[in-house]
Amino acid sequence: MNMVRTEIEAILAQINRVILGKDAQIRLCLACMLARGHLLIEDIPGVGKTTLAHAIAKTLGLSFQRVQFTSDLLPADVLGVSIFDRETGKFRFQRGPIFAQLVLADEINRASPKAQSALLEAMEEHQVTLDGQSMALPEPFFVIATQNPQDQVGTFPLPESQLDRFLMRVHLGYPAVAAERELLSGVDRRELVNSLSTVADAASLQRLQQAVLDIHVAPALLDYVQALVAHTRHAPGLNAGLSPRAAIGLLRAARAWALITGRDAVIPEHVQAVFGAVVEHRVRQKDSGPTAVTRLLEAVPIP
Amino acid sequence: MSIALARKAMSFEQLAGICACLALALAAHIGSLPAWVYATVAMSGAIRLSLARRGRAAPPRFVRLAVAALAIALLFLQFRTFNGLSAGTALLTLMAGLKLLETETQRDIYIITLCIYFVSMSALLESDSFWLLAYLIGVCWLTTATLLRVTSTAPLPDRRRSLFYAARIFSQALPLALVFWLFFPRFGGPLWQMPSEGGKAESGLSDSMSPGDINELALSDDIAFRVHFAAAPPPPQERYWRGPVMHDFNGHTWNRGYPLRFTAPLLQTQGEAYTYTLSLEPHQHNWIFALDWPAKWNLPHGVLTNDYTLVQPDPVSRPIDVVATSYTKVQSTEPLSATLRRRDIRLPPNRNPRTLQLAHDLRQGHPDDMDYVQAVLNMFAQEAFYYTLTPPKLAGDSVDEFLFGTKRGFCGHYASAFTTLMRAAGIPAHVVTGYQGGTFNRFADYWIVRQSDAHAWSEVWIDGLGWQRVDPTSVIAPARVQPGLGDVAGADEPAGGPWRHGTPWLADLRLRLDAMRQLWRERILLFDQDSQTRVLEWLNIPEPDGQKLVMVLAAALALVLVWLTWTVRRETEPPRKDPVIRAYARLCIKLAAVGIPRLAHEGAEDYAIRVAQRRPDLGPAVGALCRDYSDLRYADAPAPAGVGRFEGAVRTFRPRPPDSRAS
Repeated sequence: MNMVRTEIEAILAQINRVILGKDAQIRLCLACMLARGHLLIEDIPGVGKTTLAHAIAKTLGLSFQRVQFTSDLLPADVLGVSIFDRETGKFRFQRGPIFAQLVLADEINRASPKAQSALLEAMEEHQVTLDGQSMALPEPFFVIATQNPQDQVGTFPLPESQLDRFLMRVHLGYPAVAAERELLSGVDRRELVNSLSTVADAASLQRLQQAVLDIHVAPALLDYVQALVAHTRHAPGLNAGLSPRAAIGLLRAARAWALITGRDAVIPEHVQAVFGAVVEHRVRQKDSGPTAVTRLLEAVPIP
Repeated sequence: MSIALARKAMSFEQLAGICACLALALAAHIGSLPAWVYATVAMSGAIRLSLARRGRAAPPRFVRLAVAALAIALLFLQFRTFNGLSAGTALLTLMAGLKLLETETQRDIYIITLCIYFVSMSALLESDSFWLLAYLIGVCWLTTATLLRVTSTAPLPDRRRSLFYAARIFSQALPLALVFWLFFPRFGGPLWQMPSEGGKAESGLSDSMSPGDINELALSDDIAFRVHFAAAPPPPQERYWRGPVMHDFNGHTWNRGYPLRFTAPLLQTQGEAYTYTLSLEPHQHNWIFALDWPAKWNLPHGVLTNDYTLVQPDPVSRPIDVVATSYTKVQSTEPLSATLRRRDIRLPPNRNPRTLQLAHDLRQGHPDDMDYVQAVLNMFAQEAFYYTLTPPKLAGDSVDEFLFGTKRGFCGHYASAFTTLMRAAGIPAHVVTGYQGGTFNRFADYWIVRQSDAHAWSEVWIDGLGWQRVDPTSVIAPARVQPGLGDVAGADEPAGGPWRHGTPWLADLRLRLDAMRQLWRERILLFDQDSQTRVLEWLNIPEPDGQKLVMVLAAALALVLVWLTWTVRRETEPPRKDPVIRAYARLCIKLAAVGIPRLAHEGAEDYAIRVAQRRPDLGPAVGALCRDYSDLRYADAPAPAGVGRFEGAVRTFRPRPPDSRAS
């Protein structure tokens, strides 16, 4: 347990060095990855979304690919393409950027729905099927997608089915005054990322993911999770409640959070900590925003 | 939890809902409060609503204070008191309305809601109408539903559901209301008296009669009383309901005159006795209308005056039921005492000279009293007298003007003229006012006597026979006294109008509604000490006294409270078997007692952090306890010994109250 703890602390400390003053969001990102979920980072351009993804990949020692989504992006640009090899007289599959342990889908909502859906199978099944042939993706496999707020020009909103495949959606937000000062006076972030050392590798990450599954969940806590989920399905102001997949995801994220905070069992506070990030992009609410999610939490007493 | 919720800001919709409820409650007071009170309430509601719509807060404190002070000063200027029904209701209304101005949180809405309940119910102090009560119950229902949409912790119910919940709450309260209604000690007299309102309109007959008076009554559909006959009713021409008797005449107006302390000649009853229950509406006078002539009655303080009017010491200011027996035929062989004879033979000097001359001329030809009466009646029948409810106005010598000028009038004119003619001929006579006839309600077996049935007739003293009723109107317009004889003479008769003629289904509907109202009055309004005793005897509670009743009420209340506590506990408390949950609940109660209640959605460790922020001295202890609790409740296989330790730690945990820390 102690080893797990040191490892997590080291990862968090390193990423915090790059992204300043965003401890809570970084913890959520890590929790998301430990829970084997994909992450959606939504914010205006220039607050460090891409840098964060870079820093995570570098810190965790994962193979990293970045796809810049544009409106003319084709599925083959993501997945790969079969090329005829004249020497062997056979088609040879040229792997696309999806074949990496950490894929950064930058500005995913600028691509057409067709290209977006190319990610679907990969994210859910961890495999790619092309020309009737299935190819497994490397393990662990993560997608970190970034998107601009939907009201910006040139965006295609992600369909609900695709949104549901992201375990969490995280907002970065503007840095605080002190953090911004340090950002302005410090070294260039890109260089900093490149100079980062690897504090974990794929194997140790998988060990951590295994440790998440060992976190205990008491029946009393399941009562609470169920009460929360049930409330989102009846609450006024919501058009759609949480799906069973979302409920499973919520519990998994809470377990990962418990691991990050160094507990061996989930308590209601852990559920509440990840609730906003897991739930907000899945429930369609009339008045969106963090207050709406807080209202949901406040309406459900802890049994 | 409730405290935190009460501080929560209210939404525009909640504010609008409560404003609507207040408006509905005020509608029940229309006409009884000064117009500027309504205007003030409407203004403050409109201002607050428009501010809330734009998401702005209430007006600043000094504005609110100034408005309130101004309104209260105005109120005092108008009423010169804060006591009394009107002033009290106006004050309550103003408070509710001005509270709207400073409404920010849900707690303010609770206060306004409370005011709405009071304002609604205060309308019942002015009227005990069945329809008003039904309306007010509706208002309270809506108000409760609105309150539900403000207070609910869990998801707010939508409009339909909250109405349903409110109805359920009302129906749950019904048994308790019934028990209180049945068992609340009733007192012989009224427990308290509403301060009487000066200038309150009195309806019905008064103790004087000018020829034009009854005219106004004839157009009024208000109910004077209802009568239920135990057996068959008397024939229509004998249904005279006796009210105040007029003795003094000043040439224009008849008056009751000063009451004389002389016993009336004893009446010998004849013929059939009629027993009936009379449900009298309040009329603010001390006489009781009874079938001519009353012989027996169940009023403890009721007496018969020497002109045979049934009176009681106090005015009839609330609905009463009287059971009485009357005989329609009486006679008296005793002589009329000189004083009483003098009272009923006086005429004002130098008034109505032509009438006196006419009486003198007629008397020459008819020395016998009965002959003379008949001669006068014949004169009415043969000359061109008309019955009309819209006669020309009479100014000075009303009888002269009527007999020799206009010749148009109704009961009051004829009774007045006839009595004057009798007195002028030396025959004692007086005018009796009261009601004649009535409408039978075939849906509930009782007669409705309305103000439009008001009537005036004469009585003359014939030696050897006693007082004899003579109704000159019956000579002119037989249909007025005996229905079914055709339309009342004169085509310009407006009384009754469309109600009595034409649309029979409408008349039926009216009768049915009146039957319902009568049932309501009998069963609910007039449920007094006697009725209560009967119910209690039926329930085998002998000799009920106040103490026993209060005990029954207390027992009922306790029962309801126990049931409520039990259901609420069962719904809100976790299963009580788990000692960890029980101990944690105790810990939360102890912390709530020092002013830091746990929020329902707050996890134990978050709670501990909040406690540590508010009370650093409690931080470590509470932190450890809450950590233990989460471990015991959520961790994998906690040690059983830990439970006992946790319980013990909670038991010995005694947070010092916040003020002792300051000292």
